[in-house]
Amino acid sequence: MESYSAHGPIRWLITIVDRGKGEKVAKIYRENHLFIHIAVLGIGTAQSEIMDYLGLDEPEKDIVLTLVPDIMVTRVLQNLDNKMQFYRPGSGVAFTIPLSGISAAASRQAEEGTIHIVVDREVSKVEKKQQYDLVTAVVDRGQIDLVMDAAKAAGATGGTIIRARGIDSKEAEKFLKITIQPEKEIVVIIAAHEQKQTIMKGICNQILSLTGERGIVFSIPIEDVTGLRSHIDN
Amino acid sequence: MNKKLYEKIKESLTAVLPVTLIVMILCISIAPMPVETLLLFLTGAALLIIGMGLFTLGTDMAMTPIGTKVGTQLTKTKNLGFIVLACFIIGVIVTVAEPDLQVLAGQTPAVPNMVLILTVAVGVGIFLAVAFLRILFNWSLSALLIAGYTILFVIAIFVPKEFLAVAFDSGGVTTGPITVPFILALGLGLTNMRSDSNAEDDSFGLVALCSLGPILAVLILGMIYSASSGDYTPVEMPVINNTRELFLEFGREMPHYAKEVLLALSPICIFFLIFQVLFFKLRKKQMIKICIGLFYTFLGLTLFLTGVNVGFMPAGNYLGGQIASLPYRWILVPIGMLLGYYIVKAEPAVIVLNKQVEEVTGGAISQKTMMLGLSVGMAISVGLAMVRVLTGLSIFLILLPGYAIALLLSFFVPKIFTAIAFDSGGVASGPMTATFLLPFAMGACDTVGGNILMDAFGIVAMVAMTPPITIQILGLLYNKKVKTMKKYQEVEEMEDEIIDYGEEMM
Repeated sequence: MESYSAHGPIRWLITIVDRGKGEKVAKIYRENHLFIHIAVLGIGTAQSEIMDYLGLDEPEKDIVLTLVPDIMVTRVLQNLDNKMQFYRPGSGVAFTIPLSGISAAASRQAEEGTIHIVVDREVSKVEKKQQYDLVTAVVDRGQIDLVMDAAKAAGATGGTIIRARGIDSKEAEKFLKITIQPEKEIVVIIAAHEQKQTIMKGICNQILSLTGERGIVFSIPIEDVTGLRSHIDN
Repeated sequence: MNKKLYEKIKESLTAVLPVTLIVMILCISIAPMPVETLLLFLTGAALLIIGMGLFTLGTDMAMTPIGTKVGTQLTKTKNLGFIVLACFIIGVIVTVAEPDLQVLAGQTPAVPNMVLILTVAVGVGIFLAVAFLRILFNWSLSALLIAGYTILFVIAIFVPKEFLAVAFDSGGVTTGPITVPFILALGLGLTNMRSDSNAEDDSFGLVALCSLGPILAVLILGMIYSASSGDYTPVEMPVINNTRELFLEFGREMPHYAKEVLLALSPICIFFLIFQVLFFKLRKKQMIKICIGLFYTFLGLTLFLTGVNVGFMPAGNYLGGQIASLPYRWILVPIGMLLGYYIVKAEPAVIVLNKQVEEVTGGAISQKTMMLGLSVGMAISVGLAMVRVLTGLSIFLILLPGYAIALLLSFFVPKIFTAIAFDSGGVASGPMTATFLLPFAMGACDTVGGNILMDAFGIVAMVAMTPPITIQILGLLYNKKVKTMKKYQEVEEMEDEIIDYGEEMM
């Protein structure tokens, strides 16, 4: 047990890039001896109304989920920043979420890289002061653009959509041999700490006025945010 | 530059440029071509690039959302009678409006046009309804396909062999670039809201069953009318003296294809409007996007069809004839394979299918993998078609073992691969095959002195037959890979202790 804690905890690194570039991201991570990758398909939200009408907005995204030891985060993200040109606006975002527990097998695999490199996590702790949250909302399919309008009015710059369906056994309906579930969409928005409240309230109000129901919105603390527009501007 | 625009341009260029380059190389080396034919071809290629980009963009914005929403809505009604009726009507009307069906009608003079069109349409309608029922009642797709193809081949025994090629071609021909994305999206719509374990597999397989309808219909008609032969229009070589005439040649044909595309799109628009009023009630913004998408589809497909028909058809025909006249005419086979390998990339419905496969499998079967499978399949089929042109081998001798292998494979691969594989058969045989590969085979056949109806025709059927084999072989490899990965994990001794960070973090 001690040998694991010596390296510090493992973090969940989430990288969102344009569709097709997920492979490249995974390759960069592999070069850093990170081996546990899971890819999810997402869709970026529209940036401009005219472009949206013309169908030239909403680029498809790859979301790469990776396990990374805390002490390697800075190094890995700098590497990503250089190779994927994350410093250029709109090329992608990455952030980490601390884990509260992990299976030993996964931990061992994730920490393989720490043997190969000398890292100093302390430097990055300073940057961490800039706090962000991942505002997450679960919305019925087809209402996402209106929800995003509200989020933008409250200060959000953009988000990523993940297609989903409910698995509530009460809502599920059996029809012959198939099970029908309501279609949902999950939208995640990276928001600065001070904007979090307004954005979440905006989304809730919008969902209330659309469906007459209280919205399902929550936020997750995230760190090491890389590649965000406003972050770069600062 | 706008990312999406860049993506689309890249997509169309990678689709059209390889074929263009191969033709260019051929015509400066072994198959010299009149400059006017080459100019037509190059202008056609330019139209193809623009058309392809607009078409796939339009499909993303309009056809796929409409099809998906209709599929979802149909299931939501939970009214079996309504679902069957709606599927049947959708199948019939979409097929009647398919422009390629008119061409098919022209190729079968023994059967009155109206009879043929209606029979084929009813065939597609019935099979679309069966395909939906299959999903709802959880019938096995491979069992249905085996039954379907067995019936086909039994009937084929009683049909005059001059008629066989045309009949088997009809399956690939009628599933065109408008029908395919729409039917694919119907399946997707049904899958989106399901949580049972078969959901992913069932997203595909609709096109596969729908391709059976036309073949069956044409075969039965051939039997009834004892059609002894088909008919075809030889490719005309346009005469062009200057650049203005070149431009006018395209300009003259464009309205004709615009009308065809409009006709093919209209039933889908009408369905959408009916569903919009009855069920969807989409907001203005979503409506505007879908309308713009429909306009893109219309414009894109018009440009595309004008480009291939005016530009590619004469070039294909000429190349085929020229290469077949060489003393070493066996070279038709490798050149055909090379053309086949790259031409499938320019088939508009293929891009739509590959994208949907990637989407549904969450990236597990990527667009690249699909394209590889299709390219290899296409190369094999065009190679076989060229062998037939050179030797006059009976189409029966190729199709029967081909489908036997494809159906046999369905027992060994994951279900989803079988569904995708048989879908891709109907998808791969689109306008590129009909307007470039078929004239290529006809040109070659003409020079060799073979029977065009028996030996050149059938290339579409061939193109529809090989992808089910190659894509399923991909599935076989995929299955093997998954199994070895699992084995590796079993060997490693797993510790199941859990490290808790909770205390340190707080």
